[in-house]
Amino acid sequence: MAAEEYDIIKDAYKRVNAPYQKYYEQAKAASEAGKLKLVNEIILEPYNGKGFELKKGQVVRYECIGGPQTIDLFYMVKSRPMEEWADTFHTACFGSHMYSEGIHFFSNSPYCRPLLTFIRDTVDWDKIKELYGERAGHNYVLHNGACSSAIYEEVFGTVNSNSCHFNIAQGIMEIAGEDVARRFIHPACFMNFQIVAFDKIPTALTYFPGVECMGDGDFVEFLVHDDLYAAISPCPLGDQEDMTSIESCTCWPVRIAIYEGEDGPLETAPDPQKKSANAVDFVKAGRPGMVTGKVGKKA
Amino acid sequence: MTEEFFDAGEEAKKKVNKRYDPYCEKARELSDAGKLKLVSETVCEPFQGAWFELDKGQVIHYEVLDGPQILDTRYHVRSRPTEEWADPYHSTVMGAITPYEGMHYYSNTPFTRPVMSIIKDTVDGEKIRKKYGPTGAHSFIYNSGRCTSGIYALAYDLPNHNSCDLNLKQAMVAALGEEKARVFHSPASIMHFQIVDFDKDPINVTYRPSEGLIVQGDYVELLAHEDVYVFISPCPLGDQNDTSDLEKCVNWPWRVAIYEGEDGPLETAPDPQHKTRDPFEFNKAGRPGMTTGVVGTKQ
Repeated sequence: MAAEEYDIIKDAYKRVNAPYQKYYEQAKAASEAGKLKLVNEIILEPYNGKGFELKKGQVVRYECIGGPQTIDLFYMVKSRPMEEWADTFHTACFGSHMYSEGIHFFSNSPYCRPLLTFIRDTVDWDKIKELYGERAGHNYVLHNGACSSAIYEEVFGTVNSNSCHFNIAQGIMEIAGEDVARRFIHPACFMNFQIVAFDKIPTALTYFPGVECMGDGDFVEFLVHDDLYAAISPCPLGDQEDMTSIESCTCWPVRIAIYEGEDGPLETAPDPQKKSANAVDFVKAGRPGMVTGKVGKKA
Repeated sequence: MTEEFFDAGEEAKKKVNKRYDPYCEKARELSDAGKLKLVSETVCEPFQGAWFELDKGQVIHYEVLDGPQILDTRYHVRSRPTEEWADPYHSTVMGAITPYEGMHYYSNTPFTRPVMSIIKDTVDGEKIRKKYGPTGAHSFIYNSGRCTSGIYALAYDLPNHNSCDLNLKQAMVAALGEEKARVFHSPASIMHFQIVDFDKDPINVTYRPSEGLIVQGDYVELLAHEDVYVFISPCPLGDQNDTSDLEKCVNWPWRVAIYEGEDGPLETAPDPQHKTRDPFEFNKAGRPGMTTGVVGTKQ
């Protein structure tokens, strides 16, 4: 194969995701057939982060109440929250910056396994694309992304503005404690119900209003592959209808519903049990048996 | 989209960046006029992390030697390396996913100030865009981005492959010690000399060969606005001309040169001294005086 024809991302995407496809299909089918049983529900109020637990084999649903509310989410493995979490780098590599049904949220190195799978999305993507172009959507990841209070101060001059960074810290502190929260200095979050397009040159985001595309009752659902801690923030940009100042943004509550199968937890993806070492431990050990490519020779 | 659409991202960029652009422009003029004085130079080797102390007002120059070598870079403020660093999220929001001449790297919250600015880039961006379309570039930021040994294990079944994660940790352990290096489980870096475009639907990156697009002597230069540690990894994808097998990836040495002005350090951007607080302390204090928008009312 000629070097120019080889697409490393496309090839890895196919190879890595294939073994996990069936768990997506099974969970989606169970949800669509109404074969999920409600286990717990929480109402998330504007401007407040929340922490909660999810169990392996459960399905979590985030549902708009009244109007579209951007939410930022961060997931940690309950048995080792300091060590393993849903990682935006691995997830984007094997999925996309703009994620949709069927994409898995992979954990960080060295684990690199699916922690959640996106099984359902009722938002009208055709409408989003019709209004805002082919490069638009509402679920996405941005680099180490979560809005922060300091960026609002830099832009709007408002000190200690509500932000996803504040709210996610609040959520992690609530469910996993302060030590774990401090571990994630600026957690890289997964966003839902936020209309954006990667339409600028050089490549950058445009944030668009949400009301015409999403509304009361729209939901997204995820299958959970391990016991997790989740932290959620309702983004203070709210429905993004008016972002001329922080004070003009309108925010809405969100329903968090947790389900499992009629007979208990759904089937989940197996842990691939990767053999790569923790990076710092490997460096300390002198990087034994490290694999490399080759060094170029000057012509 | 209505004509009244307020592009919050674009407005924020305009408002904030202009405060700091003059420092970047002045440094660029001095570089173009050959008025920078060499302070040190180092030739770095493939598969090994490297680190440098860069002083406020100095310029760092990354140069292609015999073949193009992808570099992953990170910048941490020397006086508080585990608290403040060049943050890909703030930098992307205020700039782009594909960094360009004149773009500032902002630090994380609550600091959010320019730590570095790209003053010069000799790679022919027009040629890249002509070949790979308008989103083509060689500098880019990815979600929590740097390749990891975990991802190579998952995609290629190669445990403990050399990776930027590993090389950055190597450099961080050497500069900061093990305890501080472990704080950064996911160092998100900024890449140079890696040809990419964002042409996939849903949005994702495609890695392209660099042959004919990045040539010997090409360089990127950045002005430091604060005393920083610079951590660099030569990515094991090397020149990216053949990524069909990781062992075929060809890697090259590269040159790092540090400059300052003829009469000492260059002028740098002032610290805006934001008043926004650390999120953990602010949450614990009950979030006094927090600014918010409004809560929607269901019709």
